[in-house]
Amino acid sequence: MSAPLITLTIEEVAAGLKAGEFTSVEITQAYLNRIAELNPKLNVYVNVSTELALAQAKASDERRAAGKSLGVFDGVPYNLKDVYATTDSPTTASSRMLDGWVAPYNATVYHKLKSAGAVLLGKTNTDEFTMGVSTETSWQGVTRNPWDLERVSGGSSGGPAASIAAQLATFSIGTDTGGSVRQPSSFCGVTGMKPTYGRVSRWGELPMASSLDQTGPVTRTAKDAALVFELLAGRDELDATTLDDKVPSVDGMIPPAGDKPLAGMKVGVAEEYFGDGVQPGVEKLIREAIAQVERLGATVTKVSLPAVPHALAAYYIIAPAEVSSNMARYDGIRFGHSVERENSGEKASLYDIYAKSRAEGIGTEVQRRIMLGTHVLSAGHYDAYYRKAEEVRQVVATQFAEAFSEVDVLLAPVSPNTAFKIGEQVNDPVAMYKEDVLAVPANIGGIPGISVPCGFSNGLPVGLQILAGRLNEAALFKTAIAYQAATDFHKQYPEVA
Amino acid sequence: MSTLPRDDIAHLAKLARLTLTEEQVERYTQQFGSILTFVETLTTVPTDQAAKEASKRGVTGISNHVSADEPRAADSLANLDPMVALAGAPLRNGRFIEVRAVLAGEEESA
Repeated sequence: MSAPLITLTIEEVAAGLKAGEFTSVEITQAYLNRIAELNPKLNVYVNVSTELALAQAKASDERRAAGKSLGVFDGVPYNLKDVYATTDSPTTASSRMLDGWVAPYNATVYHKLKSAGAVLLGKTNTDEFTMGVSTETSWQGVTRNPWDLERVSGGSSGGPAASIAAQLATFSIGTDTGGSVRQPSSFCGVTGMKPTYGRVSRWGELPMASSLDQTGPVTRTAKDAALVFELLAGRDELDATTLDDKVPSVDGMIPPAGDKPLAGMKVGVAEEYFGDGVQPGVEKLIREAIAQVERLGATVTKVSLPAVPHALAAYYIIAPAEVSSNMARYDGIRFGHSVERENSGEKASLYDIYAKSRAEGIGTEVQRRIMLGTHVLSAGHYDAYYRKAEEVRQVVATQFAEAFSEVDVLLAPVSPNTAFKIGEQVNDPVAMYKEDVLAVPANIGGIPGISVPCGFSNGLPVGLQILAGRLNEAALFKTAIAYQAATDFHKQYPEVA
Repeated sequence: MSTLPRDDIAHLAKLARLTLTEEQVERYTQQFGSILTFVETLTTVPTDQAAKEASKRGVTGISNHVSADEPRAADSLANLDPMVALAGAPLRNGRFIEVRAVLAGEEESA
């Protein structure tokens, strides 16, 4: 194999390792070298676990030599967004609150990857506690977009997306509460997928909004994303909301050969996804992608989703409400940042320990959402805000269900825009929130979605969003795999000098 | 444009256990106005009785699973040694976490 190791997909790495063309230690070292070179410029990794990675890679090579390979993922280097609990490297959620924290237990996601032999290179940057659309709220600073260093990489999984675009891992794992895997994947020109709510265990995933959070892969190809999905999905006794439903196998997602691989497939287009605010350059590429999918044999029909434009407002009530509850655990008493550490001996009330530790440890965007959530849940406001938002959420979910009784997948933009300039919107929270207006409906409806690269507008990547009905990840992956077989946008990488 | 008075923001900060500076209270007061104006667009969305009823059951279609009342498997990820679990606490006393007086603190700040 002559291609550089850092350009390979999961499938290609697995094949190369199996054929003995290179070792896991070699590809792991290649990534570690590149991280050392590029991370100071891009700020993708918030911690690199060099020793752990090399030890895991060495163990993988030894297993393989002994004829005991664990399968496709054995020896493949990856990173985790900095929100998964691991006992052998720090987990900080890119927050001062958890600076240097090492979890006392492992997340199910990490446990599954470790058990499959994958090699953890480190943790990648996120908006603080995943709250943001640009990684600008990270206590570790912004992750720069590998396509244009003056621009954001998107968020909150900006580190995972940039790590694939800049070839700093074979794959990455992110979380998507309101577009946080798909939007940065769109901004960075990589493939990023959010499964149906409840598919992947949230045990050990630091929570943001528990009725919306879902783990998803960031990869070079849709086929790779399907492989990761198949590995991670499934019922977990430690997450009471994981689904019992059978996880579809990757084999069943491979489109048939020939020039009409999507024959018989029904694709919907909803004009609500092309409203005011979608950049003309983005809309043009999405319309071209829809025409491409049609050429692959699918039938395109119009569907109506009138409540979709309101999903974002519902999200900014429901998510902060859950944030205000979830963030209560960071109290300066049990773990994380605490004024008590410097304060011992001085007189202080319990309230002061709570409130001062939280004020110091938690950044502005997270504070804002905690307070907003506290407000919308308070007596007298609960019905007007929270209950109304839950009702609108139900309307959105019902409209999706009706649409998916007519079509197999929906095609839409992921984001109205391409990556914006660093600092451009930091003082306007509502403008920031609106970046996710086309990504959030999938979370509100609990349905799966994927972003696949579909071209460039003014030199910046644009992602096509493919959405499917609850539990129908197979249709989404089949469409994405067929689209990538016919296009090469996902094979283009930036020059990061 | 919807807004919350400055005193309400200060009260919310207290409920949320956040000691804010004057400047932060000022900034959040301004930003809350634009955020609330945005989320209040929801009042214009018609939600019928079916949606009202269905929303009470939740859109995720998931009911909580309840585990059997048995000890966890020996290799469960949830098994924690108590001392490991307590290791992150700033004040400890043996197998306990130590905290400041609760009642005095609450009187001061309630």
